[in-house]
Amino acid sequence: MENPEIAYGDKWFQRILTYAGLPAGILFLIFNLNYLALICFLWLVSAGGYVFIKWSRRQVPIDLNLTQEQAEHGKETRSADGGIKDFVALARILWPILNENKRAFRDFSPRSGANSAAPIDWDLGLWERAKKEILGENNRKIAELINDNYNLVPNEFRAIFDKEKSHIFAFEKHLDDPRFDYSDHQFPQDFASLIDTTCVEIAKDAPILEGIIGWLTKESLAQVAANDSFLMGSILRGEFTDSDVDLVLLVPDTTPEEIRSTAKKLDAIKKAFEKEFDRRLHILVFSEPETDSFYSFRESVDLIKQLI
Amino acid sequence: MGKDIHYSLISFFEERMNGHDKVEAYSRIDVADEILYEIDRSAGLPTLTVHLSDAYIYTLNEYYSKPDILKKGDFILVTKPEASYNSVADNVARSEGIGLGPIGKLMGALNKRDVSTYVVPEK
Repeated sequence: MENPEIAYGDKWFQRILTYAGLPAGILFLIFNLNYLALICFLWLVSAGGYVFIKWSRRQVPIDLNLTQEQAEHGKETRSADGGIKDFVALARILWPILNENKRAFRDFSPRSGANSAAPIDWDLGLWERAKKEILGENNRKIAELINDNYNLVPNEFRAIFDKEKSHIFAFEKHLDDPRFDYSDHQFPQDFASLIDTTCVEIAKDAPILEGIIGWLTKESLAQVAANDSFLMGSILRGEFTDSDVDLVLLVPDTTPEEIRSTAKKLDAIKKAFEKEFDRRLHILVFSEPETDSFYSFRESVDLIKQLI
Repeated sequence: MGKDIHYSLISFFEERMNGHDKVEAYSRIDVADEILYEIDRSAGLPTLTVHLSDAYIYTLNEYYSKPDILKKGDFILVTKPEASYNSVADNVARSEGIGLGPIGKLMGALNKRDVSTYVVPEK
């Protein structure tokens, strides 16, 4: 699906050639046959220039050392010559990398443990490792993707991408020298929002989402008589084929026997789902005594797709 | 339920066990699809099993689907630092003599004979 916001200079150049070059040539031909050779020459030069520009901007296949998930996902977004097709495709490759960074930040950063009972040294030790092993590695992939595909980024978004590049540079410097303060170049949230919004927009039309919703509502959820349910996470951002599908349920169970019975049914549903869609279904289940927790959690999720 | 836990969290758990006064030895229990440790303690404190849960929110459904090996006196670790558990699941676990909580709670609970009775001091 093409993003209508993307403006390519190449397209305008092509239009000028198509709509102006040919009629101009015909007019010159009619009024002065002596200029025919010159017109043909100029036209050939223009067309040659266009071909040269297209060639010089061709997408070269890149080796990013992507994870299996990222690589699988990338296949769908490549053009015939192996390059990334367009800005939307770039966003779809960036999203899982950013999501992994977000998860690492959520799980390991000192800020993440602010409300937990975990001792501070737990957080700091893990955070130092996560910075190098997850964020540093992923940031290098992001920087390479941006640098190699900067021409795909619409002009109005380039400032946001530049901020991300500055952040990555400063963060890398901080990894080399922990005394280096990168607080002036914090991760730009508008970059994450832009990528997320782009992916959410295209996911609305993804047939897989409709298929999954249909399967869950018709085949499965009736078995556990869920009172409330919604989808969240990557499935609402596109066809990330290797990602789990996250389903959240509120079921009417109150006794241990009922809860165990539901757990068994859900295990069977998970297996059937994996067989049907070739991906895992992750289910978070709240039982009737946890109704308040369910609704608190739902409030905290930024994007959901209500099922029941 | 499962093993969706970053390896650094597991190694950090082991480091914390290495550094605990009351832990004499620990060993991984070989159970499919779950991460479980047997913890031998000093000072006559009973051995216990710790289940490293990969849940982001530990609910009743998680509790009643816990590994069969868990019994009274054991502990369920809400392993991911940002993971949480609700009071309903906590109350049920405690009533059955099983501790539930994050690493800070486990570190304190390991000093008690009955780990389920440990309460994290208020700050």
